[in-house]
Amino acid sequence: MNADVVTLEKLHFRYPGADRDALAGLELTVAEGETLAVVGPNGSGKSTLACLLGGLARPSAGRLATACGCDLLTAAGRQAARREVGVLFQDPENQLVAEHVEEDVAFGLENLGWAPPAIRERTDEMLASFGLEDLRRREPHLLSGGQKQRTALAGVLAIPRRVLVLDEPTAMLDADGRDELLDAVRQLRAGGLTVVIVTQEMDEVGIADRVVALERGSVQFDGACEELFARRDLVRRLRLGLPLAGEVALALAARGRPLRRLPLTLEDLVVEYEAGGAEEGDQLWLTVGEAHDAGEARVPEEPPAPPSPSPSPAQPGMSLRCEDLSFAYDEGGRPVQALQDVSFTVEAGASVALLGPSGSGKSTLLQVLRGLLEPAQGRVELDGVERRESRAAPLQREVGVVFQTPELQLFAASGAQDVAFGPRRLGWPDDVVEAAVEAAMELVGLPLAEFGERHPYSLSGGEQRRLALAGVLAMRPRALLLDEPFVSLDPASRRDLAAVLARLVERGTTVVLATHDVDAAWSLCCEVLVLDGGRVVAAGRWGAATDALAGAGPLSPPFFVELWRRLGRDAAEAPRTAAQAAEALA
Amino acid sequence: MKAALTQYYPGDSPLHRADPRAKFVAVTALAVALFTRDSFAALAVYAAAGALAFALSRVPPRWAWRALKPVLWLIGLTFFAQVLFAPGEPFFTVGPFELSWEGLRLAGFLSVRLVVLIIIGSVLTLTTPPVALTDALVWLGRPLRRLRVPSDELALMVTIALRFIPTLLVELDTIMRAQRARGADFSTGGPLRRARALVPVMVPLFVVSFRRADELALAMEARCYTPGVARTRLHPLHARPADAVLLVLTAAVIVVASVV
Repeated sequence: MNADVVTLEKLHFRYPGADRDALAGLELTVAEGETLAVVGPNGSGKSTLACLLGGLARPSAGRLATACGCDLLTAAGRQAARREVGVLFQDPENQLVAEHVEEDVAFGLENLGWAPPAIRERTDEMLASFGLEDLRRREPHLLSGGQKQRTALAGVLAIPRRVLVLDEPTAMLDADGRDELLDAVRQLRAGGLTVVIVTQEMDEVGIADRVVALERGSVQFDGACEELFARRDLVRRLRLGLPLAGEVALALAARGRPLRRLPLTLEDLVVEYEAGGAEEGDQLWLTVGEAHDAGEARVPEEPPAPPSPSPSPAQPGMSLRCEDLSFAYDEGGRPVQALQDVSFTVEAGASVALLGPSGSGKSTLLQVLRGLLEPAQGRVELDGVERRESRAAPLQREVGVVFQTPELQLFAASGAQDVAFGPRRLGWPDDVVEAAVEAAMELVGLPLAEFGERHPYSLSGGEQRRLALAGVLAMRPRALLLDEPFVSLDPASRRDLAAVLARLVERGTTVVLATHDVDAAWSLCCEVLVLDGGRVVAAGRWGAATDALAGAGPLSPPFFVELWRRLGRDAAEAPRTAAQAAEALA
Repeated sequence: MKAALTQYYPGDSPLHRADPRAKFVAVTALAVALFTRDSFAALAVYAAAGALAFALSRVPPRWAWRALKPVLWLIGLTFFAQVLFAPGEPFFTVGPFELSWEGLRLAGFLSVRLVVLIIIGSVLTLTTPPVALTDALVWLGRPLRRLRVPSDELALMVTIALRFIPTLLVELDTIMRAQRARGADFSTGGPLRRARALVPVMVPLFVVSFRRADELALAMEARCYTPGVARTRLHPLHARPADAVLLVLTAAVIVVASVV
């Protein structure tokens, strides 16, 4: 066993004005060269721990706290720890200071007063090892999320570090950005760097040697990853996200068909399932009792029927039609084509996934549909009425739109006031506004009685997002356009939001969901529209539309479709949820 | 949008490569000299120098127009004020206004001088990234450090402000669109009503800015930033022989203009 680089004993931390400790007697060691995952729900103290390890916060009390030989209980020790322990935070946007990538990577070295030639050499080295050479003169706001986070990581590691702490580093990234960053972390780990990764994603836990689970500022679990996965109760209580392969395995176990171990990837699941599952006498990762708990616990996670949001009778959905739409942005005098000859129809009450890589025109299309951008050419019909006609104006108001990170729009002093903003602007009478607010808050799972008076900024990230959604739903839209609604939410919040959207689809609201997340789209939407370079490359039902693209196109197939194919089953009958998959496989 | 705010036009001309301190000194000297000589001949020399510098910068000429456009009203105002109110022998009278050749001459002179000033100034801002310009000002303002002016911190503040302007503009745009989709109306009503309509935009924008500032401060500390401690730079300012040439040429222009 290598020597410990981090030792914390009886460590306490309390934020000014808080009524309880964020860290309450924390005990933790990290060995040199080890990769440790730290998991736990919001408010468990994970991020506080990350700051403390980096010498960025002063512990309230503690018996012992050292990182790389620096005493974190003294100011001088914390200052010294900042040179040894690097911390990468969640939001890449808020970590970049300089006007170009290379100057940002150099920022730490400039602070330490390195000589310019030495800074040059080290910066070039970092740019090369993080694949940023071609971007060195790029301005940060022009980078993708993944590129920003890699730039920030290169900047943190430009100062030679012994320990790297990552605080939910992929939470704000799309799937590609996530893969890029995790690859970088795997390489660093292979290079012998000690890594502490704070995360809520179970497949990220999988890259660690050891995992520590925090709850209310103290350690609830400390051991191997497989052991934690076997503790279904803990996984649920800590609101961790299990990859779909794991969900399927749990659902199988609940049906009396346990696998030998918990798979985290599709490959693992196929191998374990084809191996025939666990035999009598196998050391099980899940006891049968827990399996039944797990199975039962799945039921309430399905959307509970809302207690009659009666004042608003379910309105019929609106049909949307586009014909030969084209749109170009003006970028410094040059037109940049964002949409080209886009034609499609969304039937009333249909749910359509709008898929495609970044920059393929998804967001632009949503804005054209909502009438926030005027297309250069082509027509948009709402319920069969051309949008420019005057009788389309009331229809336009019935198209709700939820932009990326909609919690940005929250501004009022209470949840109910914020949700009421839209309905009031429509000039509805007070009693109608109140009924609409109550129904919308109920629908998103934030009942008025409990959340109506709370300040929006006091809610968790997931709750804020659902409150913002309520603000749109209160206007009683018959069609709802959503732009990447799942980005930067923790796994449990993603599940809650998906349940709300499923309820809307069920009620017959027309839903257009622009997303990178093919699996979320698969579980929610009955049709797809795939854009690439501003053109429609596939449209219609899943299968027919997506088969042509699988592998080669801008789209990877949904998990369940691929699973069914790999198991030699008919992909056309692939299930939508883990429970359905288990039912078919058990 | 960024271009309009900061005016930098990326390029690799001799003027782009020149030390920003030299450029700043040269432009300041030309501007001061321009206003100390009142002859058309001198003005012609400065106009030629400005046109030459602009050509040397290899910035497309329409950018000169872009620099002039926002101040056209000022140039126009100067022109008419001189035409109408300058003393001189009137040759034409409309009501209380008298036109004189002297007035026309003066008005033309002052307007052209403003145009030349803006062209010369825009050569500096078009060929120098804002951060380099800040660095130059900080270096030139070094003596002020004795007076406890925190020039390094000021430079970093400018850098960060410039870095976050595009981010916040995008955020502002997103928030406005989201609120508009919820029925907000920013373009009708009197000033009071319009100001009130902005509340749902300004509150979220300030909240997000404060959160960004907070997290940025932490991320900077995590990269060993300590206020008041001297920093080095990846791109230190380097004066080269070419910069001496630039300064000598500038001096030559001023001398020529003062004798013609």
